[in-house]
Amino acid sequence: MAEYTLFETWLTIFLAAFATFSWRFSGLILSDYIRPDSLLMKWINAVAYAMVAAVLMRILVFPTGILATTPLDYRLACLAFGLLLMFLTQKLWVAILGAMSAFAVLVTYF
Amino acid sequence: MTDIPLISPRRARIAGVFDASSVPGIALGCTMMGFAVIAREAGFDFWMTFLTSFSVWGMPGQVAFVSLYATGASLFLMFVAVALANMRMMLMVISGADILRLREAGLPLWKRVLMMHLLAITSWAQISYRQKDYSPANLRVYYLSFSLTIFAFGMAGTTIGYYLDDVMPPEILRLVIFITPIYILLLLMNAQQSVSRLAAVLGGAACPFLYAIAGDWAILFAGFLGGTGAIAYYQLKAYIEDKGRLDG
Repeated sequence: MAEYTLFETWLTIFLAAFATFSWRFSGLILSDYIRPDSLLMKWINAVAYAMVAAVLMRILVFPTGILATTPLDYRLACLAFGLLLMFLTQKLWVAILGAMSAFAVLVTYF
Repeated sequence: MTDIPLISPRRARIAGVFDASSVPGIALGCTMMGFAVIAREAGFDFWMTFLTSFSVWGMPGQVAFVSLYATGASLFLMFVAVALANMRMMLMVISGADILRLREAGLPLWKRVLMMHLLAITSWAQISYRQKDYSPANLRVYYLSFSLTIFAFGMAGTTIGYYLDDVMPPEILRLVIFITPIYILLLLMNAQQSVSRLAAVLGGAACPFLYAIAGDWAILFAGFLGGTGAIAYYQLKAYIEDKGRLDG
């Protein structure tokens, strides 16, 4: 176990909050200067999409904590199954329900 | 704009609470339970855990933070890791403020700061998915009630996870934690614009490969590659189609 003083621990929490706040605040200020339909706004939006997808793929493929006790093949297969259901049915809830049920069955019984 | 149904702000507010109280709220609450379990193992007391969720409100950054704390990393390294993991917040806020037409709302800066503090992956993906169903004013009402509900679920999840991490058996908890990545990834693939879907596919597909080389920097690289690739593809396609029209 790492040794930090109480002051250091609270300081790190403040720093973590400050780091996140700075990004949000600069985003808010910058949003006033970028024209809504400009190519720059489209690019920022596309990068945000790609980055969020990347964060979740990182969680899905290289999880930390308890999700790491499930096999990678099952997680990827269930994502693929969810995507397939979504393209076939065009219904988000069907896809989520299908992928989750498949995952529950795989993890519990295999 | 004629295809947006006229509804009262009150209905938008109720719809926000309602939409948040199903899959998104439960998924986020359980993800935060997972965070609280890691934080307790790392040696955080309850208020440290609660205030981290409350003030950071960005899951990947929080997990990076407590994981490093558990390994005894330097304060500087923790700061850099959280900043890196949450850099996407800036882009999400720019995009979210645009979707919500926040500039037109004429709100004071402190209100806009508070509104954007509530912006997380779930609420951003939700307003992006819902933007065609509401007028900008109603979308802001919808966003506020949706994200406040999500926030309440997240804080409840943090509290429950900290005190009762054995109330839910690990076999169940790991199923429930799987909901968040599945839900958000499928939501992204439901985006209105094809350029957004392409960006998500490219960024999501590139990330695991880049992660093997670049570690957590992979998220930034995958984001810039995927987003730029998708924009370049559609710009090029539009240019070729334009040229074809002019030549033909």
